Amino acid sequence: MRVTPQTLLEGVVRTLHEQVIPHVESRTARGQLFAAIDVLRNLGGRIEAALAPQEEEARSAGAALATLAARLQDAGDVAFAAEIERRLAAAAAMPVSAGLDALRDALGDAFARLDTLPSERGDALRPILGGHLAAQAIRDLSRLQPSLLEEISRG
Amino acid sequence: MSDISARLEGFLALRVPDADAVRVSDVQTHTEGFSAETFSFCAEFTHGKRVERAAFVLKREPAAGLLEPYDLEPEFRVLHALSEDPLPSPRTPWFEADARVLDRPFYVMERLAGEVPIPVAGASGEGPFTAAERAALAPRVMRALADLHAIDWRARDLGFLGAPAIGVQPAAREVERWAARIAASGIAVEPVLAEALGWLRRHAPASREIVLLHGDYRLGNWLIERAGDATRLTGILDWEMVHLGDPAEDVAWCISHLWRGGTSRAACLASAEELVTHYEVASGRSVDRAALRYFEVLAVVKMAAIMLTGIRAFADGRTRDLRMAILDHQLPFLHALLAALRGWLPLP
Repeated sequence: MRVTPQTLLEGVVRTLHEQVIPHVESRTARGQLFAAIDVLRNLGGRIEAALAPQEEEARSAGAALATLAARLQDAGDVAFAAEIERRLAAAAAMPVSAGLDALRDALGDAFARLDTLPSERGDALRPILGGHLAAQAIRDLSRLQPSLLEEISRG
Repeated sequence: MSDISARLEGFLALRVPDADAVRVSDVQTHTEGFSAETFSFCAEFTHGKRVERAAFVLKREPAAGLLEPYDLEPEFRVLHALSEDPLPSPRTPWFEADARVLDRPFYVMERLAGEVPIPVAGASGEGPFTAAERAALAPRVMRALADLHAIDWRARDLGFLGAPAIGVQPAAREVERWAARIAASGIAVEPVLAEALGWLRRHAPASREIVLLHGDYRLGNWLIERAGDATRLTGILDWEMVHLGDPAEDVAWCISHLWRGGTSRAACLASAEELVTHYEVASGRSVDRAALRYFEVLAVVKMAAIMLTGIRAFADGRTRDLRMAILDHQLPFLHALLAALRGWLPLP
């Protein structure tokens, strides 16, 4: 979920205005739709992505990366461990949203670096980060409303 | 729709020059497909006192969307080449590249009987089919896939699709094709997706043969005529992702968890293993299970690439299709599926 609420709202407003209203014949329904557009247009400036889920993901990602760094340190891969520690410190100094982006980048880079290790070592270390990915996927799913995909397909 | 009707009448009059008059009616837009714009219409061709009636489906390139940049011509060329084939693909007589005709390129195919089932479990959890329909369809759809893979693409001049070499190239080429689309979306790559791409790059299986692949062979692209234990596949639709490659890629896409619609069955029909066995019996091939697992991961990565492309088109305001907006909150399903396929979560 990477698109900002503002961008989504702007897109919904655009579509309602250009693609839906011209096909609504009832004046009452058109009036209601214009009212909905008016609400949405004024909502955009008042909302932003919730911080709590971002903080939760950042904590989980940070913990996984810290565990990986500790394991690397124990195994003598000091340079790789130090790089992760440096990225963790940098992310911690950033605002929540930017820090989370930095941690996601650090995770991606750590996976890429694990890919360069001998395969047995990489395979042993990858689940440390994989556990976070799994937990994050579950957290993201738990926040979703039941899908209307069937209704969307049927029209 | 009257404007489209008139323009279609002009188009058909040129394509069927021996008709004295052409009349188009019942033009309807369809919402089942998420990619190319789909219209259905009826046409009457008058030849003297004789009137021929036919039903058609028209697919037009959207201004922007899931598979942009669009080019319907390869899909048309394949469908046209297969028009006389016993494979249940629609006869596809016409392609028009000139945007002056209908704003964007399009092709026209004959409308086939049947319905596209909506892959959802429903209140009973049983999905779109009865037990009799499932038993009839499962072997038939896998037989049709085997028939598709048996097509001699060289003899039908389909080499323009680009044949990869035997070996790891078919898998590697697909990984890079979809990685490039993910990058082109400009949306930051989620760590779970980055990890999967890395895994795919390290584990590309060696292909032993190159076949014609539909690329999107799944429940949502099948036309089905329901008749209990005589239920049959009447059409294979949406060939936008047609290409040449490893047959296991189509099998993996077909059985993917992406299309189970909340049921426990692959393609809402049967267990994945049953469907693969049907395919093996029909094709005479043995499907390497490790390769199948590989292509199942690729299937989810491919779906993520498609969704990210649609999200980007929506966020940029290049499409007004709100169905692109919902993809933003569908991504976590793909992330969970990737985590499961990589062994960090139980598979659903």
